[in-house]
Amino acid sequence: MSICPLPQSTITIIGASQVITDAASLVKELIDNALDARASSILLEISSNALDFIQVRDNGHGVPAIDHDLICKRYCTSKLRSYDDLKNIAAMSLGFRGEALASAAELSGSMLITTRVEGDAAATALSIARNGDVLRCEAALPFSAA
Amino acid sequence: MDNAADPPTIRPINKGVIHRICSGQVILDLSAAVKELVENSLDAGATSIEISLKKYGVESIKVADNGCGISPSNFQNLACKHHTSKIEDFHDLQSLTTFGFRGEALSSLCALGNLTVETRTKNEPIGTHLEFDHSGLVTSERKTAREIGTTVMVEKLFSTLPVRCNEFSRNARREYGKFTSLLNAYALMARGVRLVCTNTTGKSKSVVLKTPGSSSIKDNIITVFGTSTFACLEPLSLCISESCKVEGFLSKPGYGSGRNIGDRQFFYVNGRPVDMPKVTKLINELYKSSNSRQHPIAIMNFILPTKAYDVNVTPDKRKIFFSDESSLMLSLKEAMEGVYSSNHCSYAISVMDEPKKEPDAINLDTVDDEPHVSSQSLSPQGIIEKEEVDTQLQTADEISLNISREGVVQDSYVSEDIVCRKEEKPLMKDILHSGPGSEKLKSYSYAQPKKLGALSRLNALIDKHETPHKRAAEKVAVKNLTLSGRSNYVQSSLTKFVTPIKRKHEQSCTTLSELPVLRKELVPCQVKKISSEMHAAGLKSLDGLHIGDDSTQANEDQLSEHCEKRCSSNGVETPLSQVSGAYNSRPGVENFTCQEKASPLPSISGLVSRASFDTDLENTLDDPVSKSSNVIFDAPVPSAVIEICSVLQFSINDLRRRRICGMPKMCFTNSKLERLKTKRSYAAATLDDSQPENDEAKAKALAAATSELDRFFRKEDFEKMKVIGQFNLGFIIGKIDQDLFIVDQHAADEKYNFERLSQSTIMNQQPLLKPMNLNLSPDEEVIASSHMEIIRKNGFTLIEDLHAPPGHHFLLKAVPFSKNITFGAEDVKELISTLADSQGECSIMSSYKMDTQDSLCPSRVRAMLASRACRSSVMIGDPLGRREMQKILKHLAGLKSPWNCPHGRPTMRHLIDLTTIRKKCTQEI
Repeated sequence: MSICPLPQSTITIIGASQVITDAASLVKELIDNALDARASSILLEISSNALDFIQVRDNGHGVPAIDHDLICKRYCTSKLRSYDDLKNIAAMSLGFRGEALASAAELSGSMLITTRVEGDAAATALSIARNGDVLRCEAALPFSAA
Repeated sequence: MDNAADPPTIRPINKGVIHRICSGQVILDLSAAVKELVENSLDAGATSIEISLKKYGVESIKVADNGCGISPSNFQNLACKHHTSKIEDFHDLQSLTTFGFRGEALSSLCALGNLTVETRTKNEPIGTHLEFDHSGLVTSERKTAREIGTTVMVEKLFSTLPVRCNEFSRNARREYGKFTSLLNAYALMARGVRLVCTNTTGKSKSVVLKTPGSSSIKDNIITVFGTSTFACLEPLSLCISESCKVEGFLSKPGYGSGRNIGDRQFFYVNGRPVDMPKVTKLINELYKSSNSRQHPIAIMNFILPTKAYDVNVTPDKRKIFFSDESSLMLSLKEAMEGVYSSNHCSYAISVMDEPKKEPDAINLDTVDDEPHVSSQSLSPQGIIEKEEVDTQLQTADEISLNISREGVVQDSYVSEDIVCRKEEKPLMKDILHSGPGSEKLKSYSYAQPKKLGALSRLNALIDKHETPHKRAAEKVAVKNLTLSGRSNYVQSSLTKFVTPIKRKHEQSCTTLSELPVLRKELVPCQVKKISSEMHAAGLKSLDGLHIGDDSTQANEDQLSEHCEKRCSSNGVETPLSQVSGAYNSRPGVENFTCQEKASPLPSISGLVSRASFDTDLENTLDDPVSKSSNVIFDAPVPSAVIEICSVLQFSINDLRRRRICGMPKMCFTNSKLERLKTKRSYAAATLDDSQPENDEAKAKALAAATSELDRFFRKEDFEKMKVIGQFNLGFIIGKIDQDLFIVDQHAADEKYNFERLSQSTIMNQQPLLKPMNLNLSPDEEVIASSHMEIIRKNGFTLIEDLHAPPGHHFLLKAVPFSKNITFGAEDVKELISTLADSQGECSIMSSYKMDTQDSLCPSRVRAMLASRACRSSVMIGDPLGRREMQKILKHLAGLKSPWNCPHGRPTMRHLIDLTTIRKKCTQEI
């Protein structure tokens, strides 16, 4: 067998299943994100088998509309710009690789992100496809965390 | 990142940065780097892998193999990320047979160091030297001389990651240590792969590891850990479910076989070294029941379908998710309980100094001619011999005899044979040389080995039966002879089977060759007259042959001339051997009487079997033996017997002559064996060689060999232990057969009292006036709600209030107390945390936390019971009467786990095998 490039789908699923190995690691990533967004309140809602449904709500700064397209794209992050940032990243934020949401989208297939930043009139609900693309983007009721 | 108020924008990370970040995840350290390269070599089908480190790997790592090589068309893709030849699609992971599959290793190594590759496939006349840059592109390509295979060299690993680079050069030696232990895991499991690892620091070059590429894990273990470690191991082969098998090696139960720390525990899934924390914990817990202070050595390979587990969990692929872990663990636990059950333990026999020279007389001939005799002494030694018997059961089957019933007899022949082949076994020597000097001489003494095992029981039995047997023997002396002849027939065919194996080692063909002759002579009449009882011949031979012995001894005048000759050749001279001779004759004689009277005496045969074989075999034996004796008795016609007799006489003459001729040869053989004796482990090797054609037998023989010097001690054996006396007012010296044991009187009694108390102590419940708030953390509350039953059984009553705020869900309503000790909130909390501990890892382990109780209990409860048990027990310094001592021993037999006192002190140790002392005496004479 000669050495061939793996199909992109295989690469992503192999990678994703290493980032998100179980429900707990997904919850960890989401809480990390909430904390990195400087949330002061985080609400968790998890179905009893921890697989059907996992929801993390925070009152952090939210994701502005300009970022919506890249929100679930692999290796896209707001936390790291260059390799040298890694030296200081530990003090700045919990995550830095831009893999968590992309992996979650890959493994879930029906991910929904609802976000609102200061100044928005309404929240935006984003349906995310497996590959991280935004399928639908619609206005949603704003919610208050905690 | 900019301003606190402004949400930062999401942007793609630069490709190069991604590459470096991800590479650092794949190659964490030195061992990960070498692991990837070794796995690549193994995946390429290499049979020889050479790893050379420079300066513990800081300067360079080179892995050279003789695998299939890389064809030129792949050079450009070689170090590209996510390029691989091992899978094509994600679904291929379900049927993965290679170590690697992600296409990340080489590209990651590129990113972290300077990578060069030399390779040649069988299609190229000349090798190619490739250099790569950090992004994985080929920067130079030139021809070079190279055998078929691939060499990968990484220089300056981690030079692109400054932090890790510093860390690596500072901790190079520690990293190097981790690396060698990882390499051991591969060296153990890689069958047929020569693995050499060297490290060069400055000018000195040291070999870290070198395996010869042997095809068995056993040899790998010996190479990596040495023979002494291997001697502590026993092979493991478990079938834990339809699709899952576990193979490997485990420490034997009992003291001294384990390790003080839990290193040397290697787990594999289909040959891939992995971490299995739950299995580790399980075997450690189980091992504690037989060896409370040590950790077992474990080499366990789980063989299961590739789709039943997921290796794509961590970048280093050391973590495995099983699709049905809990049932896997449960069946593993059940299977492992068989290995480390608390019902028995094995112990290493304390052996006296090896004798310098072996007396020359006892030799293979004894074995060749009358193997069954010593089998009697062997089987009482316990399970291990039984294993050997099993080993050969199949092969014995191949002999044309119908063994279904008297299989036992034959087994023991063969087992004897095995033992003799690995004569270095002190145990065997004991058997062979235990006798007082006289029969060392020329003795083909059948009786001698007999003495050992049967001795204790014999004495009693013989008294009872001596008179009748004598009378009977007189009457039927001639017929006895017939019987012995028949037995010879059985043997001869057996020996014939055994011969080829033996020849290789022992050159005993001369002695053996006489037997087929004998057989030929016998066959016609056998076939003619007694075909119906042929299948029973095995049993008869046992009896009959003894008669031969005996009649020479006890009834010399009555016997025919040939019989006398035979007698002298038997050389039964010591009182002891007379005794056993006489004993052995008894059943035979009585059988014969039966024959005459045509009234079967199954009960007697039963007795024989009981006396002859140890309890382990007893149950299985009793039945067939008595049955077959029935059969025999009906069949023969006196006249037929006489006819056989005449043929036989001749053959015995012949036999004897040949024997004498064979003598010198035998002595020679013996001295050869002496040399073989040097190492225990050698036995295993010898055994292997002797039966290369039969894999199964080989494996079983290996099992037998590895357990050479160990014996199993079942807790029921405590009851059989005969009290010799008290030592130092603290220890009971007991005896079972020829083994002396020392029992700690306090520990033994304390354990008994402890188990008795934990059974009988009733925890009274004290309801509390005002329920107490437990203030449990949320995770403790989850544990508590799922283990209410255990908590209730321990005497605590909790009431749950779902509407209360977190931390206040549970209220303690009643607490247990016993006599003056009351338990409280702290104890229930401790119980919950113990439960949490066992639940997180493996809930099925909970029953093993305490070796005496079915459920968990707070440590204070246990401590209370232990302290009460201690105070009510016999103390060190208390003089004990024989009856009291016997009682203590008897109590031990009834305990769940009698091996340790509640504080972990062992109750019993093996002191000495008396036969070794006897042997010593023999030599001094």
